[in-house]
Amino acid sequence: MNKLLRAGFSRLGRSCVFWLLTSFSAALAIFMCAVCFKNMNAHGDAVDAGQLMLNYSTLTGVVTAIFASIYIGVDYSDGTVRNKIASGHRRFDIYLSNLTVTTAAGLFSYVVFIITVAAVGIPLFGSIIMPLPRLFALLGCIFAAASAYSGIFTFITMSASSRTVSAALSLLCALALIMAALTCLGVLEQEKEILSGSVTDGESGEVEFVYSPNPRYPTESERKLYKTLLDINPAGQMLQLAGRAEPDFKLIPLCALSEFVAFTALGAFIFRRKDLR
Amino acid sequence: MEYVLETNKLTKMYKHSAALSGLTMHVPKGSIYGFVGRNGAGKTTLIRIVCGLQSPTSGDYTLFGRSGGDRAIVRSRRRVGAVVETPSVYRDMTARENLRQQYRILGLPTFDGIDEILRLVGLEDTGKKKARNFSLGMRQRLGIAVALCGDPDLLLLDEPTNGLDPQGIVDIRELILRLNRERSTTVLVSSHILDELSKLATHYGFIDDGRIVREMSAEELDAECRKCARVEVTDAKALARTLDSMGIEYRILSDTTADVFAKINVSQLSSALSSSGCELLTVTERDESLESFYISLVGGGRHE
Repeated sequence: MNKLLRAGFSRLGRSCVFWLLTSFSAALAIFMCAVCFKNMNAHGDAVDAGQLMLNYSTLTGVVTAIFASIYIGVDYSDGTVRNKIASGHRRFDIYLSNLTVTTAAGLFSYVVFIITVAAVGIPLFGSIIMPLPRLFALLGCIFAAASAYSGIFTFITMSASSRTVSAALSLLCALALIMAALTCLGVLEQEKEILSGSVTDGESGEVEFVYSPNPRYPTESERKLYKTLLDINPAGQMLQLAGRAEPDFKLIPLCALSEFVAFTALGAFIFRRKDLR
Repeated sequence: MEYVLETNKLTKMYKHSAALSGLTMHVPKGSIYGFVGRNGAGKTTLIRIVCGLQSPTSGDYTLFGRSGGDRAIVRSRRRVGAVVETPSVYRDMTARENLRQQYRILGLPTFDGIDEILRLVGLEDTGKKKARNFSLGMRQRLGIAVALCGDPDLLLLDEPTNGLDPQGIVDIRELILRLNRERSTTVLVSSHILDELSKLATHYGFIDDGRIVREMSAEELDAECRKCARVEVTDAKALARTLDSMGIEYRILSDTTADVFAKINVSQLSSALSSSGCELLTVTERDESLESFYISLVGGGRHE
């Protein structure tokens, strides 16, 4: 396993896609800081660098999907996975080493984003407003959710055998997870009552707004269902952690790590039985 | 005889079609084993199974004394280098980087030996050229170089000369011979070109429809394919006595026929036989090529 990790990290250091995605995260951090700085100067908006550090979380799924499908996919397209098996490595070790490298690459990319935001944002916007324990708790949950993404995309890539198929499947899966999470959030963010009209008093000229029950407001059981779907979906976890909803600091890491373990167990099982060409 | 690889009734099914149907073979230690069969006969499937890329549906194999079903088979695989179908190399790396990567995978403590392997396969001057820009022959040699990392005791080469130009074919052949001679590496080379294998193999396994139809040494194959005259007589015993007295090598095939491995003077033989009361009926010159021998083994009806 150590040999595979050494080989894997060595290849990671030479991987164009890894450095491209890492550069992307740094560039995105600088861009976001620049946009916020412009708005702060134009409208006097207060900007919290701590909140900015959370924003990359929503993109982590797509970034991990691209990285995993290309980095691991090369082992299939170039046939080099055969060298690992033929030279006596256990398939479980090969799977775990790829998972470790993918997870490390995803987390490294996020850490680069955080460092860039800190380096650029704090001098521009001042010190972090958000309480540091909360920020660290949110980042810890984001890292757990990012690991869940790594588990899912390593599973897809190691099961698919073809780099093209795994890239397409991974990207579609990442986008589908985001769409599903946004749909759940959309339902959960529905107001209980909606404005249905207004009555104007002819004498005083006062306007009275009339509210009626929102037919799209979910029932209690529907709310529970959508909340559960949001919590188990890594994209939903990321949206909550980025500030779209108040996250459950116990449930989210629990769900994320359970998914990580479940997909790894399933992926390793499939890879172990898989006929390779 | 000591065998590095033995298979016992190995079967591999893909859905409803059988790629291997009870294949039994023996690869002697120190040999160059020519694994001959037409396309789709099951050569690559066997190599994939031995490398651990696929599992057999039934049957077993033994690699360096360990059964394929044994968990410790991975230790035997560490003594194996393989090129399966296409060379397994990272296309975005140079030849040297590919070998370094394989050294890391194998957990070798230093990169010593990489220069020697590159020299051995003739890729020492490729510099910073990435494998994606290599010719097919260079990639094939790089694949073999990767397989040679860790100094394997058994080298499995699946159609190593596929797509190579004549010079490339000669280079690969010489490389295999040198490895076998200088490092005592046992080599299993699969090919559907018997003529090519005949220039290097010490042993042969002929595979057809997923089973070995015959295993033989190079000497046995040479004997089978020797130029000879097939002689038909009324009494093979009398023929044997006559040929013995003339000091001519022969092989009796039946009561009336024999193969004679020498250029014979027909009138001289006829008169010698008639003095023993035997009549010479026919003499047919036979020159069985390797190909025709192979065709006679596997039948010639279904070539792709």
